[in-house]
Amino acid sequence: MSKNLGLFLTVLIVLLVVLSGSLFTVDQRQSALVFQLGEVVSVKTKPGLYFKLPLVQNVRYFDTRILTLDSADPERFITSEKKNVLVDSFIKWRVIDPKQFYVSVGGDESRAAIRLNQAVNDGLRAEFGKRTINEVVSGRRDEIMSLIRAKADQDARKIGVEVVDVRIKRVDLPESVSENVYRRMEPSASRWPTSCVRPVRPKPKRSRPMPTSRRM
Amino acid sequence: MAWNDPQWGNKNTGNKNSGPPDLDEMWRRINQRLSGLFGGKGGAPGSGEPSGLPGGGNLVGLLIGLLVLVWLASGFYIVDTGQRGVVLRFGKYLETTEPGPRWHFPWPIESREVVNIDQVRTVEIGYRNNVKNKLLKESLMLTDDENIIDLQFAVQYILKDPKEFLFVNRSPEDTVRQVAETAMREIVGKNKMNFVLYEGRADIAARAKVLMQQILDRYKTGISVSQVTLQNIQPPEQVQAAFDDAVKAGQDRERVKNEAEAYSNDVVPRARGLASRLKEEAQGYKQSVIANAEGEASRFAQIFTEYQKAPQVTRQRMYLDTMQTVMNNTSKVVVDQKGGNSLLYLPLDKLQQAVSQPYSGAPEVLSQPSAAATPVPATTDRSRDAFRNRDREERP
Repeated sequence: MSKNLGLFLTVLIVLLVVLSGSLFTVDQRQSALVFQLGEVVSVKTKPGLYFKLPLVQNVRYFDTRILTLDSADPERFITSEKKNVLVDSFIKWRVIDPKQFYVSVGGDESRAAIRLNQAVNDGLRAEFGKRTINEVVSGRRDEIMSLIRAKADQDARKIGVEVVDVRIKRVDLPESVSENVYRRMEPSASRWPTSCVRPVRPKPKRSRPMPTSRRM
Repeated sequence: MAWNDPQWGNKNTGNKNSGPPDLDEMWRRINQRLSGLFGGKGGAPGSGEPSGLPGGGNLVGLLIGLLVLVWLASGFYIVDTGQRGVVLRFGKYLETTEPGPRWHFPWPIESREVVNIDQVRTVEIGYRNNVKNKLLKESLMLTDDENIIDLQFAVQYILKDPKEFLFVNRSPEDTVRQVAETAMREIVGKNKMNFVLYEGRADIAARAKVLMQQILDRYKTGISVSQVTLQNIQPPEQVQAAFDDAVKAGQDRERVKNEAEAYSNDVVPRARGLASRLKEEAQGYKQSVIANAEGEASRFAQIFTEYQKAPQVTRQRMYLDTMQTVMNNTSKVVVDQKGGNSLLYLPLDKLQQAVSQPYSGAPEVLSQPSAAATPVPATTDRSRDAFRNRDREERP
């Protein structure tokens, strides 16, 4: 009787160990690579419960959500008028091919980020070099962003990554130039009442909203 | 290879009620054997009977049963109003649950995430907590005309799709901040400074909201932007003084304009009055001059006809008239002695008076001789009027 029990228990424990070693789940947010002695044998891109051979095979997970690469410091670019601008952008990207991603950057997100950053900066530099500040700030912003996205995406596919979007956040003038802008703005400030406000607002209302807007 | 959904789904439907007791029974059986084993080991060798420790076996069974119950109970959860539960089975999205008490298969089979979707979340751009606590790096923006403005705003959002919110982006909340910044900068960059600062405030907020929503939908964040509120838009501090001056100048302009308007209201009617009076006077003068000239002309014509009748006489007369006029102005007295009139009355004092009279008397004297031939007094009257008029005109 006790021998039977002992056997049963042993079988149970072994079964548990085997099961725990051979079952794995892939989360909704992930995809996984199954390695067999270092070689990739299958790619799980759908979430769910999967089998693998215990001990021989191991699994590596990759986050497939959209990640953000937001560089801390703005980059300095030169526009076609030879003006310096500081540009702050962010990149939205995600892993779409975990195998490729693992092979080319070792599955390391920061390495992929460096690579993406380079690609995007190259694109930005090229596009800014062709355009004036005004085009960059207002007119052609969308166009530049989609161009760079397409270019960076092409490059990123090589490392199994999709560039979802590249967006320019800040386009600023360097500190020294900003001072000049302020100086230029001062006289232009005295122009606004005639140049803009008069034709739009009726007479009695005209002077009132301006000071309040300032105080808010 | 995979334990796919349908398989587990089937088991789920079949086992939902019968599953737990089944497991319970199984555990109890295992338990019994276990206790038997321990009993066998604990007791003397050979006498390993489960009946030896019946109370202990039951206790262990109870304990394990309890554990199983606790395990099952860990699958209960409550979804509050405004929340949604998201259930994952083996990591795969299974369902989204509405508010109320819910149960799912406990770990490691299923797991849950509860997210608050109706809670209004806020992201502040350009400041933190208080508008005065500025972050210049975020708030300074370039406008279309290469001016710089200082803009602070807040974005309020709720979740519209908990599944997307949880599974598509790694940090949806940060994404909102980034998207807000890029969208607002794009909108501001497309507009002139004056528009952004003064007229375009509401418009800009609305356009930024639309653009943000587009971008967030593209990223599948499951977020719905409910409001974009501009907290503060103003020129940067460096030029604040100049702008304040400009505001003051604007007010001054207004004031001076009002004053000027009042002054013009005072002056213009007066000037109009004066103008019309002058015009009337001029009209009068014109008529008098014309009449005078006509009179002169007609007199000349009359003299001319007389002249043609008797040139000698008339010429003599004209000569005498002229001489009389000329002599009138001199203080000399010429006496003709041919007449031989011994009694000559010379009222010198009166003659002097006549001479000292102003020259205006001249036309009167001139017209005197013709008076005999034609009735001209009217003409002389008129001419006198004319001079009077002229005098009046000159006086003011």
